[in-house]
Amino acid sequence: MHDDLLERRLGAALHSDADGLPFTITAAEIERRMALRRRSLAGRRLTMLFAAAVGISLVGIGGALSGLFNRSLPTPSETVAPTPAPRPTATAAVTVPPSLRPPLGPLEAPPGWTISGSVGPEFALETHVVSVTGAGVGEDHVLVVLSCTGTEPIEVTVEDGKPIGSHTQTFQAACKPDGNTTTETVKVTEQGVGVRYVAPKGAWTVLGILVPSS
Amino acid sequence: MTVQALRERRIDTLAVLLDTYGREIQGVAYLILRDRALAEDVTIETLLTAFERGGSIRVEAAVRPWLLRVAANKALTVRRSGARVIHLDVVPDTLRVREGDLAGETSDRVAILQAVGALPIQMRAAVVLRYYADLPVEGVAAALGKSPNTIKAQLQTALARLRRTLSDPAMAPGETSHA
Repeated sequence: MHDDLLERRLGAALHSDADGLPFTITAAEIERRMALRRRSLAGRRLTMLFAAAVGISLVGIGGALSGLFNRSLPTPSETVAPTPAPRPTATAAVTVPPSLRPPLGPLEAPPGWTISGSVGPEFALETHVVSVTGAGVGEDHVLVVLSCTGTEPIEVTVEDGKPIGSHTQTFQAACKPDGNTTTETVKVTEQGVGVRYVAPKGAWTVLGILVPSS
Repeated sequence: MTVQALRERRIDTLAVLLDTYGREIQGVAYLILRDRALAEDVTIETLLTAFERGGSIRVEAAVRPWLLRVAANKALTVRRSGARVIHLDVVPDTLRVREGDLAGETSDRVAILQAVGALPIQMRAAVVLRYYADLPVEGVAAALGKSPNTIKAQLQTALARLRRTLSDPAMAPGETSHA
């Protein structure tokens, strides 16, 4: 049964209650939360990679041990048809694939600078966009540091302005197979700054935004 | 505009979402949770979820219902996890008698809000999405993962309770809601 009057009164009461609430959430606050979430996600990824490496190591150890065990078994008598068993090779042992070991260390702030936002070291299983935001600090320049493995340079985009993203600058970060770090001083006009780049598949990257220590 | 921003995952997407939908999302979360701090938290989490997963939305008109659905479900999850004990018989502090307001009007609103606050959480979420966010019954059903008939029944029960409360103020709810 419809009761239009009651429904209208209900709607008006709900609006009077909720619409009167102060609205204090800012985009900067959400960006800060996003940066925190990304950092913890990167940590989780690293933990998963470590767990995968441990798992692979255990499988390798198991394979090596079973190989030793098979070798110590008595040889079959001549009356039994010989069935050649695959012999594990010595290289199947406990090595962890090099790609699972981070060749890059975590970001460290040079003297006089403080890390405002960072991500990595993380391994790109697929080519994907990585973005990091730095908290508002009221400075006019920041250091953007990108360490990467690989052979192709990575284009890094720095976004600032108000709203954030209305002003962009880019620079190229050279990468080397055993890792290379590029540091760029970037002049920014607003308190918030965002940095993004495309992490190529198979590359390790570490990105950081640093602000002068107060 | 919003769809394009979500698809491109531009860094100003969050500001666009916040300006366009933030207040309404906060309203939905607040009316379900009756707690401003938790509602702000749900609003932020909803916008972050939109930024991370909203790229697949292709139609502008689908953004709002999708956001309200995410917000309502996050609020229900928070409520189910028992994040905070809320005494629903407290009159909300935003409800003050405004100049020119009739005392009767205000007490009417208070009674309605108390009755809504005393509804079971799922039913309250349905009422909020239908009568605050103005979603159609089908939209409420999709948001809460129920059939339209279930939502219709919940809304009818809620209205019947409200009607009883308003016709007999002595029956004003003093109970707390249960998840």
